[in-house]
Amino acid sequence: MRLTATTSTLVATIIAALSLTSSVHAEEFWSEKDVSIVPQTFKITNLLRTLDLSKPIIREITSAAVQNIHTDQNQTDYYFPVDQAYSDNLSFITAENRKTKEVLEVTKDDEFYDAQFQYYRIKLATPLPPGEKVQITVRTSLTNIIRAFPTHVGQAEKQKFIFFGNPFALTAYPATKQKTTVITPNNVLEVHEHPEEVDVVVKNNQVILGPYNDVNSLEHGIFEVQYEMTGAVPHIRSLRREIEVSQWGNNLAVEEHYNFVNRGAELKGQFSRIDYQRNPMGIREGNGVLGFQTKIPKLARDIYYRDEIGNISTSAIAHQPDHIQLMLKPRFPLFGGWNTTWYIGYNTPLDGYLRKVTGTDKYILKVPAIAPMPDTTYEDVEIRVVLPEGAKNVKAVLPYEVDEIEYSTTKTYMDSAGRSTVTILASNLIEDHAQDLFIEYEFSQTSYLTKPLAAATMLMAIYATSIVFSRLDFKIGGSTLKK
Amino acid sequence: MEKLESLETESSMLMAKRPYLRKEIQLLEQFAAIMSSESSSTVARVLKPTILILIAVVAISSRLFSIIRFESVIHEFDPWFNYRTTQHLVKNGFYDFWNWFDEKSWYPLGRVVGGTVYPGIMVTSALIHNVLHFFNFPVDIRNVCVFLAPMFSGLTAFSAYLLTKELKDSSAGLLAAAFLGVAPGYISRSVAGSYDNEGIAIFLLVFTFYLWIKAVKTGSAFFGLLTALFYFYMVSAWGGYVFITNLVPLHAFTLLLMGRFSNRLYVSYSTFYAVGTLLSMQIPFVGFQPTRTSEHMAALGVFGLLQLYAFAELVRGYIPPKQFKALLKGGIAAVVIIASVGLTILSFSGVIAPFTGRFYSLYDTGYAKIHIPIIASVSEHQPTAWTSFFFDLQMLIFLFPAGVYLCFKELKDEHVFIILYSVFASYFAGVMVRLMLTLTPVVCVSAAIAYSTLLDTYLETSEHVLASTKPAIAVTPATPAVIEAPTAATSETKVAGKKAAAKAAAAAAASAAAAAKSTEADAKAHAKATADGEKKRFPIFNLDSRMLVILQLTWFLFMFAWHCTYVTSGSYSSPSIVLASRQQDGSQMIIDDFREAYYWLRKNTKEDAKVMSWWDYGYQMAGMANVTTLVDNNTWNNTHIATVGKAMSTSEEVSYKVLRQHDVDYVLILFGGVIGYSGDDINKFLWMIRIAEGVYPSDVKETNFFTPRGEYKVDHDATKTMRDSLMYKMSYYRFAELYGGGNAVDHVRNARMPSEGPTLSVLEEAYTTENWLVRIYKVKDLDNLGRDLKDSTAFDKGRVRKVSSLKKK
Repeated sequence: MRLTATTSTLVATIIAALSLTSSVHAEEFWSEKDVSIVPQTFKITNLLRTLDLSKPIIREITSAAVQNIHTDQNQTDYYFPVDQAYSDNLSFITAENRKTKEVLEVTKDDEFYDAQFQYYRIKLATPLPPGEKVQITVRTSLTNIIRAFPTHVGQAEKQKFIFFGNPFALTAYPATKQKTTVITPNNVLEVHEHPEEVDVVVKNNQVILGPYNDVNSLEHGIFEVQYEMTGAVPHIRSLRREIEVSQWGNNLAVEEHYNFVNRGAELKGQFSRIDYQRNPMGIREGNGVLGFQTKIPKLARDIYYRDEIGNISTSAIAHQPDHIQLMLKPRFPLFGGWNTTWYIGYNTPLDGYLRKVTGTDKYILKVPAIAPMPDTTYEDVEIRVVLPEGAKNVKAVLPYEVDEIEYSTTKTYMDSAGRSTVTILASNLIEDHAQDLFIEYEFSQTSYLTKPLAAATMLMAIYATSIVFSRLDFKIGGSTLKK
Repeated sequence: MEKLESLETESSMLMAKRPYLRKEIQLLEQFAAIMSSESSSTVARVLKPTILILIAVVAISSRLFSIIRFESVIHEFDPWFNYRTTQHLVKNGFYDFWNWFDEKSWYPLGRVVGGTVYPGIMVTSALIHNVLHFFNFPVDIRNVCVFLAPMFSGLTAFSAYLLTKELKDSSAGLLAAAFLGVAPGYISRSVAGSYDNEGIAIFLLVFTFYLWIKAVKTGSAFFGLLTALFYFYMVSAWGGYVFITNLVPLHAFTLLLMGRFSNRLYVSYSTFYAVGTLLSMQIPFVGFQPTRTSEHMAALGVFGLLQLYAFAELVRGYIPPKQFKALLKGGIAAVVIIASVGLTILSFSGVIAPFTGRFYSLYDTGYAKIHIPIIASVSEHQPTAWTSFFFDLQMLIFLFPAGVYLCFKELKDEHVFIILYSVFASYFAGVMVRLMLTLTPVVCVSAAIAYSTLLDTYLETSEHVLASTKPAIAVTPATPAVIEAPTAATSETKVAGKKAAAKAAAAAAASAAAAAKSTEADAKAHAKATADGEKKRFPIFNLDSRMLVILQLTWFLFMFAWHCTYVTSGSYSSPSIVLASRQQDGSQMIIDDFREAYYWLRKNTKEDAKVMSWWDYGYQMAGMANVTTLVDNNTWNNTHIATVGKAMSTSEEVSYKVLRQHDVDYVLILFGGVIGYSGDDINKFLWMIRIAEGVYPSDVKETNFFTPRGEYKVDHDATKTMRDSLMYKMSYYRFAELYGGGNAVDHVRNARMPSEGPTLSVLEEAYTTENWLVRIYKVKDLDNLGRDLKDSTAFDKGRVRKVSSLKKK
């Protein structure tokens, strides 16, 4: 093991302990060479990988120049491997043709996966003839990988993080040349790597690994970066987003329930208000969250921000040209490891979200899946869309894969049959998932009359009962009242 | 950029209705005038319900200030417990609620909730909630709880109408309803969010009394039964049911003494007592009290007395008077001896429990202060200041005696009841601020009687006299002269009183009858009837003198409505968990420190964390912070409260032992020194000391907290005991640093604090809210090396100093 940066005894012991576990993995990697199970139809002539660690969510950009080495066949499917150990961390993946900027279709492949790797199939827009080259950029977003080190920091102290990763870009095909650049938010503190022969250049906030020549497919190694990162690691344990459509009232009611935790380094000891108030701005926050920024539609009204015990009075809204910026301040600053929950809600006119397919009873609802909050990870997301009573043939169309879509009915104010409800369950989302989802349903004109009729029937029933009741006489003798 | 405020649709809707408050009262007055004739015309039939509905609307909407200003939230302290139990009831069902053992309060003792609560209010809300949910109205239980008291205030106004109608007429009833709807004395306990027993209990009180009067009037077992049922509801809702338990028998007893025993009284009281007592014993918290405690003995005694009396009446009918007299003498002597001996034996042997301390303090206001400091420490148990009578009742307080006087003039059975009610309620209201609540209904009823009598007198017009006399005469087969005569008489004697007019009419009728002999008897009877009907009326025909009085009365009504609105909005509509203040630019600043601290505890401490605080905040902590508390507002165990007082008022070493013994994880205190909030713990500290001294006289001494000059000081002059006490240390820990070391000023007590603040070794600061209002400390664990915590803290500090000094070199 080679240490490139300064060492202290404390760090060394911990590193030793950490590398013990990682070396076990490494042992496995080298004992049996991993072999790519996808058809070896490509060769990577050059590959550039950027690992962006400047935010809690890690963005990896892999740009590969790919050559079709098959002798006579045009190729359309390029495979991108992802370590199964990271399958829970992989939140978002896209691919594009680097030259034409065309977005390429990426699907999780059902055929090519094993215990070690899951392959994603990237479909080229035009089949690649033999010998030809194409440049493909794959962007992945990884969540929950970095960990705070040390795990506890003081109120105004700076927190440090450790990132473990593969110094090589993981490829399904052999690469003639590849290079990885790691970007950290601040100066790199320490870098350790394995195997030792890899070359490392540390430049301020960058670590450059490689370039390496003739790297095998699925080449593995370990490297570790320690760096400083200020600010919180916002994480939403669960988000329940309820969208209620009212065609009568031309209203879209949105309510979002958040369960939040700051995953930054935990607060050492206890919170001191006096230290917090005395420290200058910028230092006093430490890794605490003082507020959240979120966008809501421009025409939103009746905005509220509450939690389990009532209204949270500390919030502000700013009207922007195309949206309303909500600045939500939690009741207390959220230091590392601190939790809170809250919910917000608002009403907005339905016009902008609902379209009728002309000539039919069909409606299409277009709403954003989540309201994006920057650098935030969402663990469990439940989106409930409640459609008007009488909506039939409901179908949800989503821009990405989710865990589950359920169709059910909900009964609320003045309902007789219940409203069709779509429940979408998803996990490990990030702000990139804040795309529109579409819900198609049929709603006939006569359904508009259900509610007034139900209300009228109820009133009629009440009146009829009171008529009958007032005519009943239960007396068992002459009235004693008149005496 | 604008402030985002809680937007409640209901509140914005009701906001619009508020300005109508005064207008409605004004309209009401006019309507009441129209209806004073008791005519059963269609107009009156439509107007009465409309007015009542409007009164209910006014009553409800004037209670919504806090929702409009703040939000739909549960207020104060006790309502948080009721809210928490209601949530439990809704979530887990009735049986689970009944058997609920709450291990989160009174740690480590716990509390059997089902057996120690009056479940009425929780069951009512849960029922409303479940019915609404059954009809697919998913109303949040919080909103049901918040709006329960205002809704019931509408019903209270309605029952005041019914009660007063029984005493006088429906115009007085409407006035009483309007008065009770907005009287601050009642609003103080029934604003939206004030989810407390009193919220529904006052309705039940008034309605039970109405049913009782109805039962006495009619002698109907049915109404007696209804009285018993509502009495049961009242028992299930509020400890104040004892008031009914004593007032109703007292009424029966008084009637008996007045020689007004009747079968009506016998039937109604027997039905009420038998059914009501059996039903009330079904509430676990009441249990066998109706047969075993002194507070309930009067009811039992009167029940027995009535039986004996009825029996005597029965016997009297069958035997000659002489023998009966002898029998009666012997019987009374025997009963008195048996009863007094039996009662004494039972009282001394402990079968009948003596009066409770709270009851004694009603008799002797100084009692609690000496014997039970915990009762005296509650502000609502203090004797009422004279001004607060006017503050809570305004003009009603001087109309009240007039109304009682008018009751004396009538003095039917029901008027006796109102007189008794007013005498006793006045006394109790004078003894305890809280009992102003029971006085308010009777004040409203009496005042309405007085006010309505005034209106009757001064609004009566000649046309009215005509209208009421005409039909009576029209049916007589007398000649047209008979009809003309009173008309002429009325027009002639416009200035004269009504009595004169009636007399004239009678005279005219009599003279006409003399001409037609055959109809003489008829005419005489009618003339008499007319005179009887108008006997009480004094119509004043001079417009100017009428206007003078009417305008004045109207002005009083305006002032009353204005005063009620002002008091409600200014004094009784603060949720007390949120404080509001004005900033220099006039904008509202919300101080939300309580919820900040509670929510921090709720989200960032371990689930079973035990938090010690003074008992005032126990219910709020359980409800909002969801933590285990040591003591709370259900002050049933004085020793436990004293233990907490001891932990707060002794030195760190002594209190650490107490804290460890009770597994305390956090200690929560209120400190208002930074923003000048006077209700903080240092100001309550003397009560903690007193209560602790009562149980631990060797550890805590009140005198040690006073300076030699007898002052209660926190600054340089503070005594050593004071400065060593945990409460003092927690309050002022690092307080001086906020002012940069010098010139630290405690804004509540206007004290200049020493620049060197107290140090803590057994606690560490865990959380302090934005305005320092709530400070939470964590109890340190035992030292790893077995050292004293004081030593280890000093050692840690010392080391830090050494290192920093080394670095400097």
